[in-house]
Amino acid sequence: MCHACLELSVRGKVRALKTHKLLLPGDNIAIALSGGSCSLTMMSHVLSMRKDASTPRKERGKIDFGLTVIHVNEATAYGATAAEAEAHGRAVVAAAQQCAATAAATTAAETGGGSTTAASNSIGASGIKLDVWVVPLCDVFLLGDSEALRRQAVLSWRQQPGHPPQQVAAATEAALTSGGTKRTDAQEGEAAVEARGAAEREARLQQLLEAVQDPTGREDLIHHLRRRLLAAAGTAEGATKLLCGDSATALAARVVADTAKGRGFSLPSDIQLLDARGAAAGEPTFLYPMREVTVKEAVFVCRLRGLRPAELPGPLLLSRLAAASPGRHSRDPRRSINSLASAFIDSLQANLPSTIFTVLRTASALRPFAFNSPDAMPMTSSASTSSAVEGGGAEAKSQDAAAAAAAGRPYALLCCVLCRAPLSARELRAISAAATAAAAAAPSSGRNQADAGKLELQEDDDEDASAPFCDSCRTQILFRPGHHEARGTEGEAVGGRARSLTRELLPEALAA
Amino acid sequence: MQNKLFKRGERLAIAASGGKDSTVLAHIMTTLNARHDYGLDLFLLSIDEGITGYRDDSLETVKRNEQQYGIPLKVVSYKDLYGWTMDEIVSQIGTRNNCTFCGVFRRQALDRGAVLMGANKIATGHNADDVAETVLLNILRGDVPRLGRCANIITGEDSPLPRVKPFKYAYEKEIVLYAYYKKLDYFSTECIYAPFAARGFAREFIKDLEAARPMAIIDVIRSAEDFVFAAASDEKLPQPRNCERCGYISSQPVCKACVLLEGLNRGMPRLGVSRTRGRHGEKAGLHPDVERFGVGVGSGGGGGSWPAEAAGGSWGAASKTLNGTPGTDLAQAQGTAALAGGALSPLAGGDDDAVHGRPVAGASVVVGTSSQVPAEHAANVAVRRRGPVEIEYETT
Repeated sequence: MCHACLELSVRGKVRALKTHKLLLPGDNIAIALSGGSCSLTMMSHVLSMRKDASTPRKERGKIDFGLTVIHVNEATAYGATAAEAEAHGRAVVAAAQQCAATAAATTAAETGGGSTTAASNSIGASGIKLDVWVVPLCDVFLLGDSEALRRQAVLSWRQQPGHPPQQVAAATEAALTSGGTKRTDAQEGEAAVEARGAAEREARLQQLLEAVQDPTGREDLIHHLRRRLLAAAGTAEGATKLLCGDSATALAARVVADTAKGRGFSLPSDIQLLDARGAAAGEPTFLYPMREVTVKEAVFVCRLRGLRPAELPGPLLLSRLAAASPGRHSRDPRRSINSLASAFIDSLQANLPSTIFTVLRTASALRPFAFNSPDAMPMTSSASTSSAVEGGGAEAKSQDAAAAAAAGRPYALLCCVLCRAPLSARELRAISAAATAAAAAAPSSGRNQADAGKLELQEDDDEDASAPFCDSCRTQILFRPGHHEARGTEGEAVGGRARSLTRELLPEALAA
Repeated sequence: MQNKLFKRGERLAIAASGGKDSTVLAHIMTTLNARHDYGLDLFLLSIDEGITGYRDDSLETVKRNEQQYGIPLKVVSYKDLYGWTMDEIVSQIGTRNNCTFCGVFRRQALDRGAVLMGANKIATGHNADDVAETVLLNILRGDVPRLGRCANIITGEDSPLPRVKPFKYAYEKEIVLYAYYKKLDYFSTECIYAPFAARGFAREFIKDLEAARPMAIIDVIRSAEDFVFAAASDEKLPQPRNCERCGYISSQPVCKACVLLEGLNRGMPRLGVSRTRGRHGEKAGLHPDVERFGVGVGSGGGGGSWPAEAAGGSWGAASKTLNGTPGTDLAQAQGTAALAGGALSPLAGGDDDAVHGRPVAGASVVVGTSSQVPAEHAANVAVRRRGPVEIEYETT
């Protein structure tokens, strides 16, 4: 395909957002930028759709919307050192700036560019006006505390061009406290506290990740945490829509991987264009405009436009992780199911280029959920108590109590607490059976000490079984083989290993 | 196995290939039947596809199984049913799509064999790995209707002959170990045409999955069970009807086996395999007029002189003639040639007669035609009438 056609087709797909009325004037959009070629391509196209003050004359077809770029830095989760993580973050920011500059240049060129000064002004202007946030993954532990989130957003997430984060923090603090040398100590104290908090969260993250024994589970956990953090950051920004650059390649691999994890019921929820699962909680709607663009196409577009993606050297980091960390993670011969699925799709695609789209077409035959339809998006004008379709019929009806708890939205389908996957009837049955069993067991609790100790752990176990997690999360993330053995022996002494993941290690907001 | 798969007094055909799955299946069924008194009437049903070096050896194994488990055995061969062995098919069409032929033919053969023996159910030895591979293959092929059905433990529940997969949740490893420890006698070479199968890719992936997480295989099956398909696709699903030629169950006017055979006989190996459109843009498969004229030719024109018959005769040498009635076939060939207007090699062999079978009415007419056709009409043509249940063999 010649490059002009490629450009057009990819551009067309992103612009489809506008034609389908998913991107409206007055919207506040957040772009999830991983630094990879797909999200960079998406950002570049979205920027070109944007009308802002730098657009010299009335451009037909451009929309005025607020834009924030959010990058969740998960480098440390993959074993990078803090310095590397920071370098990666900076690289992503640089990539974003360059993308914006290129987009502005293209726009200027398209509009026949007025004077050169206008052009350079616009470049400079969009460089400054581009709001880029770098959010470390460990801040997922701040979830649920919106105050803390907002504070964090101001302090360290928002990137000003040319200022490293620490200075920004200091500068902002100076602004906040309306400067004065007297406050220096306090400022430094606050900054120190902040740094300590960050380090503590980082340590918690590492602890959490180490506790997961299955490599696939670990990857998936990172993925779930990232999504939650994105949603929270978007909410803090007040964004209504959040654009993710998941490519067709990634989606096809996810179809295969999810099938292999037993997630057949929730599979359709993750591969649609639109995902308004968190709308009830005020979270932005997730959109996936790149779902029909393969990685190959995106890479070419990046090259054509002179964009340089900033990718995490994943395999390198993982191997270092394996080599460095002691214990069970080192030399874990099991590959993750995600990487297997990816490799499988890639090898098939190499021989048969229609593979990806056939897989996606098959997966599209699965019925999407109510929150995948545009009706589920909250109306920007009015608070919506509208005629949202009752989702998932039987499940919603049978779990009315939980549904009511979820802010009374009619389509409150019971979802896994961790990964937000809709729970199938079978999973729901197992959960309620475990809940009733636990309730029945509790009154008849043991008389003597040992029994009580044992029972406590048993209750924990049952509590886990009756907590609303999907089967996949339960088995690959929460499952801890040491747990069950510890149950049989002493209670408290083995506490170190038999700690319930849910109660101790997961971010509170998620485990609630 | 007890989750309502079987009922007392049922006559169960065990599909036996001589391989590990079917041997273990036979062993377990006979053991459990005796031990828990299921009251099932068991027999072995084996299919001879005509693959030398593979099937003939495994058939010996099945015959030994018959002795060992004390249940009767029935062997049905492709040669008898269709007039083609797999070796001949592969020589005709190459190794690219032969699995399609074998699979389609085998399914029909199993059904016909079971019906011949008066069975109520067929049990196959598909294990968890097989079902998982099938799920993956269907995802990769985009075969949505099959995807919804392939993970069911009973398929065709409403049909007169449902098929069950009792080993659906049993890993292949478990079955192998069972056979090993019980020292069961089975045949363990793979089909000589297997390396060319598309299933191989899926199989490799499944094996990798198993290494990464053994539970994954069962998870694939559970996912497939959990798939909820959008309602829209239901209406577009074809409804089962009967093949116009042979009466077998089919979603199209003519069943796949008949289409494939037609292709084989006419030297059009891609017929029914590749996604071609007919001259007028109709779907792949036989031209609808062919069916009518196929009958019509038989009924109306046996004695007529077909102008190009002589020309067709010269083709006869090139094409396959098995237990042939080139004459009848030429007549039919002319019918189709007149329609399709193309250069078709004439139909070969009694196969076409066999396939052509009879529509419900007008049966005798075809027979009459066959007898009218002159000289080359060989005596050993078996004209088969195939209704849903009965199979009669006639030699004229």
